[in-house]
Amino acid sequence: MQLYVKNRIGKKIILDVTAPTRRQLAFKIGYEFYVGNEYFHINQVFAESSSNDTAGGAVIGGLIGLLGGGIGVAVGGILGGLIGNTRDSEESKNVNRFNQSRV
Amino acid sequence: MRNLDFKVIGVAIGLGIIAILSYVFWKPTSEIIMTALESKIMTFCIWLILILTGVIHYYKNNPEEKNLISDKDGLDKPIDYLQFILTFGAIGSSIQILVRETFANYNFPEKSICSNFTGFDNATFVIVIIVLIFYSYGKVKPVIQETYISKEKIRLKENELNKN
Repeated sequence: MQLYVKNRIGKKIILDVTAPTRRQLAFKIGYEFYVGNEYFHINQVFAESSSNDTAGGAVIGGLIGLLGGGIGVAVGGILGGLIGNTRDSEESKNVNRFNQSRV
Repeated sequence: MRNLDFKVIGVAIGLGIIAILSYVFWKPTSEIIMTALESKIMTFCIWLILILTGVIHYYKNNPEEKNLISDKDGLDKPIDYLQFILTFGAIGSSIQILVRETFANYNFPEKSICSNFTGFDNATFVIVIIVLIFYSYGKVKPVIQETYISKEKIRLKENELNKN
């Protein structure tokens, strides 16, 4: 999960901090902060998923499976994808929890 | 209805093509895999990537300005970087050796050092390989992201600075 704000021209700026909720982020950095010279409030911070573990897991599983031949690639890819998908679902829950949190 | 994830679809198509090609042309595929696993270049690349990542991460995450806030995944002092490089370099090299040995045992018995290993021994090797890869993936990925993905550091308000 990564946190971001949007600047005046709407460009997404990814922040170098993480927190499970806005309240805990405020505890860490305060309610107001600067990125570069631009001022932001904690309510302007949003979360998004930072990786795609379904794809990553499928690639790793497929590569491990390649050692067992063509069928191994298919089986390894599917298993790796399923494991990665579990992580993605967990991250998706964390993203929703942050975005729905209030200070 | 859930949105289609084109990255996952692309990976699935890619893996499907690799699966079919390696199934049909297994002999040349196995030779390519064995050559890659035996090469010293692969070992060198594992260490080179880790050292480069460590150096870039260190310089990127040690700002001179003290009022900047950033989260780092456990890498702080130079000794942490040394530990990171040595741990995952050793794991990477070990994975390469274990994979090479297991693969050679089934496909190139003449190249296998531990040729008298049983199926159970090889299965244990495969489990160790899977565990090490997934463990390293979870640990190395955040450091890679911190190193190569551009993130902005936060500067606190003056009163927050005084409080800290």
